[in-house]
Amino acid sequence: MKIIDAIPRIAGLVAMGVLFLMMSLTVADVFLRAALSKPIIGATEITEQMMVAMVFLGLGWCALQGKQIRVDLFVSRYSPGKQRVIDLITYGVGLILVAMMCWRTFMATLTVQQLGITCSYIEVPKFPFYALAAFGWAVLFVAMASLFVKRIKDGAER
Amino acid sequence: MNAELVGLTGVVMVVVLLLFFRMWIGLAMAFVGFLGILYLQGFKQAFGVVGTVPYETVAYYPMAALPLFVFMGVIVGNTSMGEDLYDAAYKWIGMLRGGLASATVLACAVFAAITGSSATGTVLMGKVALPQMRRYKYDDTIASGCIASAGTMGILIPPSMGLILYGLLTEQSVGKLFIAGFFPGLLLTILLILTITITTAFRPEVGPAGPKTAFKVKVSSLKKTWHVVLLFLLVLGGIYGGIFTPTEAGAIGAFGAFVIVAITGQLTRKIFMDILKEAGWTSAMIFLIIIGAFIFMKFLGISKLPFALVKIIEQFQVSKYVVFAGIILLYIVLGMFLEVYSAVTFTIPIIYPVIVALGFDPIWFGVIFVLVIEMGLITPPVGMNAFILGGMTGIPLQTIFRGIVPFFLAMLVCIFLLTIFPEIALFLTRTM
Repeated sequence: MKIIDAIPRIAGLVAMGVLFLMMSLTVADVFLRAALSKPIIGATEITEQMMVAMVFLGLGWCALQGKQIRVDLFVSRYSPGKQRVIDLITYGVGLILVAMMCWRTFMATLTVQQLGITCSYIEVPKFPFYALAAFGWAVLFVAMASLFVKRIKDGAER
Repeated sequence: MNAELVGLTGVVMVVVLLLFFRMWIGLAMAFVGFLGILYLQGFKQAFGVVGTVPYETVAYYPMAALPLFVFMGVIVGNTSMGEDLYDAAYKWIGMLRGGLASATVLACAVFAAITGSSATGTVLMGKVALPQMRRYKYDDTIASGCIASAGTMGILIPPSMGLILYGLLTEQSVGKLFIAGFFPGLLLTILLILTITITTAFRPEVGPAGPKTAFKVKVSSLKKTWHVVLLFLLVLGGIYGGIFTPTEAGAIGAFGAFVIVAITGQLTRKIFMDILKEAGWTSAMIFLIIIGAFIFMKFLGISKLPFALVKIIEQFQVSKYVVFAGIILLYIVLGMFLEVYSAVTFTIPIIYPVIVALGFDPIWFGVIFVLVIEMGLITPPVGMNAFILGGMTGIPLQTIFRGIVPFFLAMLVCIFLLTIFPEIALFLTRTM
């Protein structure tokens, strides 16, 4: 389980590095534009692709940390067994949904590659970033699968 | 089943998944959105949406404002800026009756001007202001009530996560929303302080006067607040002056906060990593919700439910203010069960077209909307700020909720005043 949990954690660390770089790029762009009238060409598009990396690579670690929001108003009043069943159902539905999103984003990657779609200004192909998004969904899938297994074990230990 | 009814069923399904299955809000909206599109338009469309909408939603430049402002807020939350602010406010007005509580409100308001979340202010004042108020024999009811309520100003006074999210979902200018939130934030601060003044005038024992401070000490306490003023002017001044966009303002604010933390010697390797982790987790959490919301919005658009709702309301031929009051009431009820991000992302696609059709100003409504969401943070049974404060201080929830009542009424007065005088929010935006 530790090895499986390491995948979202490593992806999450990369995401955090990207966040820092994104801040640095924007600050540099604003400074160069305001002080020297020489903005960084394509800073906006680079930021957009950095956003893809930061968000999708961070999803898995965020999930593992239990940071996703859920409304625990009624379910927390159910018996532990009932709560476990409900959690397993929602994790199961979530796993199917995330797997499907991963698959469809991967298919979109292939389409974008075939069509040769690039960022309009910097002309960098977009498909690697679509692939990164698909990878992010896969990492989230791994994290959720880990949570699913842990929830099963929780019940078994009781 | 016609499309509008499918839309309505979808809305009910999300509520059921949230409340009775405690599904993650982002996944609940994405799941229902996918099923709805599948039902209405078939597999090809539904697969197309889940394959492209997440990427397109995230790879959109204005969205970068969210993680960057989160980053800025997290950095500020990890410094002593909030404590210094409270210290200064405490020295200036702490000697008045109810002064320590008023100082808490004032510090929260100024702190809100450099952070965008309500939890940060609540946690901070729970740590800093509550022990002081207890030391001077403040009643826990007023002390906890004012902290929980004033903490909510984090999402109203710019930079505000609530306003950014509203702007992104409705395609309204985040810059204008920020500027529009400034004076309502100030108004709310005055109303909350007024509430404390009135309460302590009738019941002096709940908020005795604090210690007197020499004028020299008062002035010197302001020295430590320069970085807060600088950050605020940097972010809002830059947006207002048209020097940079709200997205860039997030980066400049985060960078400025970093520099301040570094030069004041508060930046260690551990703090640096903690800041990055917290900012990364919070951003990922918000973006899963946003992705879900955009898939759900596609579904609602296809179902034409929001337009059907507008038609139904038009048929009633009642004053638009009656409908508005109904919407406010609905949000107060929803706020009791949903937290900020869920309430914003889930309801805006349905309510926003109604507001626009009724002829209300979308920027003005953004401010009102965030105010109502703020009220949800302090109302039972799911009052996030009350939970946070109760959890960290051990004050019973019923005491906190009892203390919140007068401040809740003050917020209602604020909404009322903003409805009668919308210019309070809008006049500054007209000068941009």
